[in-house]
Amino acid sequence: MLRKEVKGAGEVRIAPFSPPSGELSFYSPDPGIPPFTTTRVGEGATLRVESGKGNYHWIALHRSEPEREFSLATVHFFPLTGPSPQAMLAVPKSRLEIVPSPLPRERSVYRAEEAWDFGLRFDGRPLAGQMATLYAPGQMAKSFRADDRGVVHVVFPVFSMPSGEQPARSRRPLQPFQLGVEHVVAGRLFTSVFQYEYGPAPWFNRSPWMGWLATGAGMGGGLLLWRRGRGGAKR
Amino acid sequence: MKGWPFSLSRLRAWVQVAMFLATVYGGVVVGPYAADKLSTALPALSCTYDRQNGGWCVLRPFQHQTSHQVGATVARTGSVTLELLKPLGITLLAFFAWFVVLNKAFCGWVCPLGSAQEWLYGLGRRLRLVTRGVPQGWMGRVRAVKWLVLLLFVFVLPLAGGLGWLPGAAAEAWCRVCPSRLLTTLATGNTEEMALMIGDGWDVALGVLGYLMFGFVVTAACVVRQPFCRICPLLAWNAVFKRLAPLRLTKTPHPRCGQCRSCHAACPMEIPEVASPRAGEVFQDDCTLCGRCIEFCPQDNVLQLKLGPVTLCHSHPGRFRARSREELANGDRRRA
Repeated sequence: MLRKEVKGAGEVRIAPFSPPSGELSFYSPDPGIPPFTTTRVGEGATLRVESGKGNYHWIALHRSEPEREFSLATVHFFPLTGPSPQAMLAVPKSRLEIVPSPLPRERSVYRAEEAWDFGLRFDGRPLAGQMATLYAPGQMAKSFRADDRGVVHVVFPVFSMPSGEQPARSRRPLQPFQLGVEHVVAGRLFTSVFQYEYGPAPWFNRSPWMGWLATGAGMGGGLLLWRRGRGGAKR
Repeated sequence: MKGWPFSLSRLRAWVQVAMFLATVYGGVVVGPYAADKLSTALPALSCTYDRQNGGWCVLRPFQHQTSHQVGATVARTGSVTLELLKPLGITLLAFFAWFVVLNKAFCGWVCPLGSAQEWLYGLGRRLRLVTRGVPQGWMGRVRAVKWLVLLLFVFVLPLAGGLGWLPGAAAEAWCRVCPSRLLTTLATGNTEEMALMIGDGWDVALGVLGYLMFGFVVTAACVVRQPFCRICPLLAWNAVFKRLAPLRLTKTPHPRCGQCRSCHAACPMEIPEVASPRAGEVFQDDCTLCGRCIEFCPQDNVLQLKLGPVTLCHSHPGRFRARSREELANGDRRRA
């Protein structure tokens, strides 16, 4: 797991829980900025981004051993201006990788009961038919098969949130998840994990009938102004 | 517009349709990231709640920065600094850059809710419903409401939310009541925003107020011209800068000004001053630069839409006659 601590609008600190070894890399959406990499993973690293350098940054932990290669990735949104993340997402950042398409945004966040697409690639090529597995705390692991384009349609499971655990300011608590994929090539195991968070289902803490009822009441108020006639202004 | 094969109204109708499609469905065409960038560069283009568009209405960053930046920091540190107000200033400058191009024409040509209200009014004309106007005696009071709405919902409530005096719902008080949010999300087939958020009393109160207002606007717009625009905080915000932008409505007074009042009848915002013989009064805070008054003025070159010193179009007896053959100044269709 990669632990994120937001320090400000242009600053985030990343500290991996595990594994403690490997390389921690930060990828900018600006193609002109090379990735920043550190091998002192245990200490974590802080990424500072200036305005104009883009908002979505890709953060990945890589570990390579003779029999296996592991990558754990996430993305962080800085509320800054700059290039779109499309070029950053298009470039392979590890041999096996999971590419969210599209990335979640402020309102368009991952939510329970919703299907979101994730591309699976190996050496930049789509992995058709590959299985990916979703892990979320308190949930059964759920697997999804990639289509011909190497895209898995992940439906996030519903989670229940004890009322006492809800944060004070937000009524849409977030649940972490990990989407993992394994692929064996020439006896070498490649593992890639994408971690992020998702919110409750769209109707969480919402009442459709009360909304429509209030709208109907408002429409009724407006209808009081209606009167059929010959047309023309009545003043 | 002289010599053009179409009227100003027809051009505006096409622009309104195009802008409605762009602001509500544009994200589908250009993709979510480009939609983000476009609407950040051109604030007031779209609603943040449109999940496929991911746009920004300028009122949202104002609320967020007032709440999360100013209010929350003041609550933590107990002091207000210029640095704290910088993001608000940057948002204001970005808005102004956009505003310099369009001035208040955003309201009359671009705003999806403004266009929807006009279409509903057209529906009312088809149904031959009797129209209703704001009584002249109420005009001053109604005009004041938009300023109160701007102050209260975009600044005071979000600031109180940020300071911790009010619950989180207050931090985006305007978005919670905005009928444009409900219209544009519904237009994309998303009914989620029509569900009342049930949290604390503020969630419910702001939500119910928003739904009541939305429902009222939908039906009232069939008989009252632009009912929501009268109290829209964006119209007020536009009015703050209206003298600074080069695009504007101007008047060369004519001895017969104030007699036929055709321009007043044509005005969707029912601005009485547009018929005034005093040139300085014509461009009021409520004006949306729709240009209908220009089309329905029977005198030559009395009303003009100008970009700096350049006249984009002006009133003309020929165009008045042609336009009057299509419809009456109040929007009613001519019957054969």
